[in-house]
Amino acid sequence: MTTLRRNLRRRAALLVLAGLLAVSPLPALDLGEGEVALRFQSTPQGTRVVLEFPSRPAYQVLRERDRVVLTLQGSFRSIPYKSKKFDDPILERFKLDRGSRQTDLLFFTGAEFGSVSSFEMTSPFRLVLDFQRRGAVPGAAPPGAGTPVPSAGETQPPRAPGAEPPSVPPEQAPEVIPVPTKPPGIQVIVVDAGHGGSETGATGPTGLLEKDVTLDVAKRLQAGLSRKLGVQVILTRDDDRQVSLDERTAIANHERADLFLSVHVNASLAKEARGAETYFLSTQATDDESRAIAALENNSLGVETPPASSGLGLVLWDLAQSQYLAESSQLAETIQQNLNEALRIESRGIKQAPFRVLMGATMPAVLVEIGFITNGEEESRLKDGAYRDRIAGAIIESVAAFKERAEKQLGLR
Amino acid sequence: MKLPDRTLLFGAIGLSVILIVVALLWRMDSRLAATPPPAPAAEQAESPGTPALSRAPAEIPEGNQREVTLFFQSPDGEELREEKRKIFLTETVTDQARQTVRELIDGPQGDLVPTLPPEAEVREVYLAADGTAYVDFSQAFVEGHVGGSSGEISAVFSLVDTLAFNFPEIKRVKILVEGEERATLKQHLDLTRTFLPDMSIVARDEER
Repeated sequence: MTTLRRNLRRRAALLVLAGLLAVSPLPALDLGEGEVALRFQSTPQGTRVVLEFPSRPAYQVLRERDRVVLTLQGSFRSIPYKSKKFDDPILERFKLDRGSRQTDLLFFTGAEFGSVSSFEMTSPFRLVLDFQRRGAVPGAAPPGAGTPVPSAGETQPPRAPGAEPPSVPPEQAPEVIPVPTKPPGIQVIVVDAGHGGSETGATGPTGLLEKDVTLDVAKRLQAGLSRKLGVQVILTRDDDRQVSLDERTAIANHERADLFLSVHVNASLAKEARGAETYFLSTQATDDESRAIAALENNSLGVETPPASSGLGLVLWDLAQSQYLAESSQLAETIQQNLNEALRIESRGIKQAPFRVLMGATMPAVLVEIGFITNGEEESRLKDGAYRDRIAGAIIESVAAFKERAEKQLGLR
Repeated sequence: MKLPDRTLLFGAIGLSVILIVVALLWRMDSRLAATPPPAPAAEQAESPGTPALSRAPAEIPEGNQREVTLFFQSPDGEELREEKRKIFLTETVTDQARQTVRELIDGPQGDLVPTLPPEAEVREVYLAADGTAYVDFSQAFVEGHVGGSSGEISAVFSLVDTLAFNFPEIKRVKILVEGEERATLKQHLDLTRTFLPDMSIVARDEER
């Protein structure tokens, strides 16, 4: 009896729910009212248009003869421009064509327009259109833009069904612009838990093992980074096993990660040594100096070379990581600041050293020593979950700041 | 000549002979213990006693000793600080360098903190013509090491800075373990490279 009644009640609830869904077919889109931002940015390679939404809308991008049409499902009354003229040979003007159920954004291209590519970014959701100059290498155009790769079926939203299809010149069928799978900015982060397996790392006075602390903090970082930043986080190891240093770097390179964070616990024969340290790869003014400077100037996010930091200026120059040293130092500085603040421990500063795990990384890469396991007081703090959360929190905050800065530089925010 | 002077002369000659014999025995002993030199060192290395590369020390000390400056860690592990030692003024730079590394392994006598494991042994020091010193340690150099970025940096740079500071012939240092190149000490510093000295982590006089 009771079972039957419960079933009936559940069925009724489902019916009501289905009815609600039928009445408001596009509930997500209505949330977007008042919150859509539209930005334009001109770069030497072309013009970038960024649309920011509170949530991912259903949309499609079509290339027509003299224009590119972005069709959004919904009325989007909040888009801040009705039309806009550009003094730009690539993108001449923009016009908004709002219907009752769908909105067309018409981008009229100019004489120097070559190609268009689009990609998505999350947290917040952004749709980016890159209008590239004729002759520019597609995808290479704005710094860091991913090569347009046809996306898998599930990432492509359904074509907005609907009214007033855009006028198509008979000689040229509209071309659907696919969404690339790898957008620029910080999307994929590899977190490396130092040591593991029989390679235990350093040991504390009461027997705490570095490899156990690094694994736990790496997992906290993974959870926090993916939750707060919406990025994909890959661990070089997620259990207690030995992974070679070169393999750790190879994982990051293979996953085409945008950041590499190696987590370690420090050790010293000096028992008084305490506090966190953040490292990036050291460089040395050698025969490779000119190449090094060229690499710094051409680094992927276009940030300026930082002032020389204190630390170890050492022998060899590693070309793979050399292109990312400016960004690596910037990230290291932010992490060190936040760790010092969060843990209220004196600054040991950012440092440079020729660490093997950082050498071959083809992305900004840092190694964080979160504290000294050989210091009795720090060892006991490192056993505490809340303390580990504070460390992870400070690093996550730093990555968030770095990500935002990088995206601003790319015109994505 | 007066008799006391002659006694003194004979005494001095006798003492010198004894010292030379001791030094020769010492070298033979370490040669017997050492395995053949590694490939990169073998090509260019100065074998101990090669007259072409042996030289007079930078400072002439009293008798048959010279002073060297060793770099150990400060108590907070943040920088390197110096302690003076006397070593025997033996014939070759490599032998003096080996004595100096032994002193470094034996650790500080004052308030400073050691940088190398006390159980480590220096098997041999080679000096190539380009100024690269190859310092070959026993396995205990790795096994006994505390680990950590800080620990590795203080170990490597106390060694490199000490050697380069005391021996102008030594421009850079390559670390070997049991005659072999190693990827890292304890998973941090890349030991496949040769290290230049870094005096920026050595405390300046006014900070000491």
